[in-house]
Amino acid sequence: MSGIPLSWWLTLGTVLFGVGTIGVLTRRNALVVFMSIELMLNAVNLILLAFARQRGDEHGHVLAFFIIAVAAAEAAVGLAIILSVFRHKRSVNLDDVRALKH
Amino acid sequence: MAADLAHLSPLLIVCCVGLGILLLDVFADPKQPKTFIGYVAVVGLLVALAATGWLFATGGVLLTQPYFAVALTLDPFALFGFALILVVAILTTLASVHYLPSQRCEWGEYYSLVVFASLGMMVMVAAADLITMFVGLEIMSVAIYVLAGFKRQSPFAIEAAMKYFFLGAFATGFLLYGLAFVYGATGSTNLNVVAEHFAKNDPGLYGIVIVIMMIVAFGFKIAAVPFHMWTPDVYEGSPSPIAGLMAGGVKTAAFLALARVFLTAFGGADFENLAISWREVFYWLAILTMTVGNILAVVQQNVKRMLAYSSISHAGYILIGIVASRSVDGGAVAGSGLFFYLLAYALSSVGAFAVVSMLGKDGEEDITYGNLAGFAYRHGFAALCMVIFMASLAGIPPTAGFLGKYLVFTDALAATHMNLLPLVLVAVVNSMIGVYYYLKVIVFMYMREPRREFETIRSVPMGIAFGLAALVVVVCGSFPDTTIRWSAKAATGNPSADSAISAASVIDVPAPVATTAK
Amino acid sequence: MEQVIFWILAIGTVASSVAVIVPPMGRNPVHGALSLVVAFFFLAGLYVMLVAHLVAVLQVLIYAGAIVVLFLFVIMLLNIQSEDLGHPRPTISKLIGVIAVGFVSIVLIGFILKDKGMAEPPVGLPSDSTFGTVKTVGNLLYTSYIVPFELTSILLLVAVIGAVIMAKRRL
Repeated sequence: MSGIPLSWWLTLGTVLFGVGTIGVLTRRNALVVFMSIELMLNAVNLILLAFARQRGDEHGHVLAFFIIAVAAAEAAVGLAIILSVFRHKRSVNLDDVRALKH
Repeated sequence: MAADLAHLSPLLIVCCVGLGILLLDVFADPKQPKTFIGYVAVVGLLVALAATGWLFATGGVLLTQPYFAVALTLDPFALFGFALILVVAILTTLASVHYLPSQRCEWGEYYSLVVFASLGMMVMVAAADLITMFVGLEIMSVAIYVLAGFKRQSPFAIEAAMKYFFLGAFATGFLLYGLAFVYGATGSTNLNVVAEHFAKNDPGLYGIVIVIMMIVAFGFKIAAVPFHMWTPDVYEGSPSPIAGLMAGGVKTAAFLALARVFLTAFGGADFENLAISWREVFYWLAILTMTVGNILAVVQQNVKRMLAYSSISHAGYILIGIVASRSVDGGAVAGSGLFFYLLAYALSSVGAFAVVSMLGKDGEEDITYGNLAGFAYRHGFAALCMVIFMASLAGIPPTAGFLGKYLVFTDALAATHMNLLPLVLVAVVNSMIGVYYYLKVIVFMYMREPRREFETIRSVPMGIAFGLAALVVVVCGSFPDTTIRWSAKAATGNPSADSAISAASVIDVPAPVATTAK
Repeated sequence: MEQVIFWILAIGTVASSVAVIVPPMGRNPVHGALSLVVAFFFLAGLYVMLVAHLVAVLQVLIYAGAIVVLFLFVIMLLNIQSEDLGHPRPTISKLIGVIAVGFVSIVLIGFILKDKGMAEPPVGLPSDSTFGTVKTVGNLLYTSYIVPFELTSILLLVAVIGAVIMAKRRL
């Protein structure tokens, strides 16, 4: 079963990556920004798997596996940091994080 | 196999030290101070440093087990990085043992996070495969995110952690996009296989995507302008010893990883001829980074922010070393100035942040130049060391910083592949600007009367930390022969490149089960 | 037939990921997280089309099952009221960022679609192929990728320590 050319997959992956990047740049809610970063990582996974399918080898699957593991680790620490920020500020808005601005 | 484990001993020892002190903390009396855990960490890291020294003396080793060899390279390049990272980690730990209680954040996990962060950095510089490098980078980053926010009761620290985390995770996305295209173009992420592939095939579209994405990702990690925005805030909010670790350790690891990736995997001539050549991009980034970092450092009132901007401008000088380097025969790095400069810069900045840690008792959020007034009258030794670090960062002889700049600039002028004279001229002008704000620190310490009483942390290990750093900076600056020889050795690169390629190509043949898929 | 499935999944993925970041749905983080789950499920479907069965399972188990649940858990724990979220402030820099990202993406997509080598569909796999199964991927994981695999355990340990340090109320 194959009929979808590689370029379509890469286009879809790039669109997803762009959506994630725009989310990071425009949204100020820390949780939504973090979700956008997860979207970017998923876009990369899609691209990796498409390349793996095209080449017919599984190295890309292993790379995707590592990215999923790293995303899980980052999620744990990132959400803990967001929790900690919320305790101090009662807010998860990145624009409120201004104590360091001079 | 057994020999491989002996050769991997620096990494294994550091790993065991991290796990060991984590357990030590569990069984320690919670009411007692945790100082001894710090000392145990220092001893463990010293053992790893000794193992590194032994391997470096043998001139780099080959890993015989092919599955290790495709992931890690223990060439002099990596071992030099190991040694530098371990020294920085030891100095950071020494500077921390009395700093943590003064900030009321003395938890034993601090030390294991510092050790694990060093492990991540060491993996980065030794990685022969992009995915290994990526996992090392993440180990380092996750540990540093947490260390940046270790003073949990301070909103500044937590915000520093958050800012660093979001920008770091964002940069990771770009790194992975680049990595995916490396895989797509070559079918592998092993740097030697990638280099082989691009030596035979035109990188084309893949090459452009890879170069852009990798530069963005590494730009964030080395804090090159325009990806530097997070640096001053994060350095200011973090505990001072950790700011030292970021300036000295994280940057060293990121630069060495960058040098290895770009010079080994993307060092081929085809990459020079792309529409976007990474050498050209780094050329302009270096100019931008030096200049913007310097100008913003001049206007700072806060000493930690000044040091942060100074570290940005130093990233610019180090980039000159990268632009001037050229890969020779698959992986060798020409240009030993880069290594000498990294050593001088890492030790000077760790030392400077260790001295700044002394001022931590008095509410660290705002250490202005005014707080330094009269520092020399009460802490003669610390002030003397600070003078040495400032002189080194400014590039004044007889310190290592001067010699590092000199070597990098000569490398750049000797480079035949590109005319780097304009770059060197910009760097020289910038160094002169830099003298102003470094001297300002010295002037305030020695020539101003203290405005008010402020408490400082009196700590012997902290004194040992900056004393040692100052000693090394002066010795390397005055009697540089040995250090230059080491840098040259590190620069000769990878004796095992050929065998690594053959090991990788053995493995790259799909396993029997996978051949049916073809 | 395949193309129809691809288009359904692709449009579903893009629509649900846009819903994560665009205010009407993304305004409330709970809606954002739920859109994210939907996007992850569509992606898992796409992974199956790419014959990446193991990764598709991991996608559902780890991303949809663990990570998004963690997100939802934090959102519930914080109990964010809408006033905490502030109002979206469109600024010039945001606009420039969006235009720049959009421009770069479109240029990139243009190049990808023009590239001849990428336009060809991949070679077919034999029907009894073991491509993408646990066995073959696991085989690679425990051989060529053993070093990064072991290092991942350190990474997860560091993440656990870090999460406890940052989030625990009393240490």
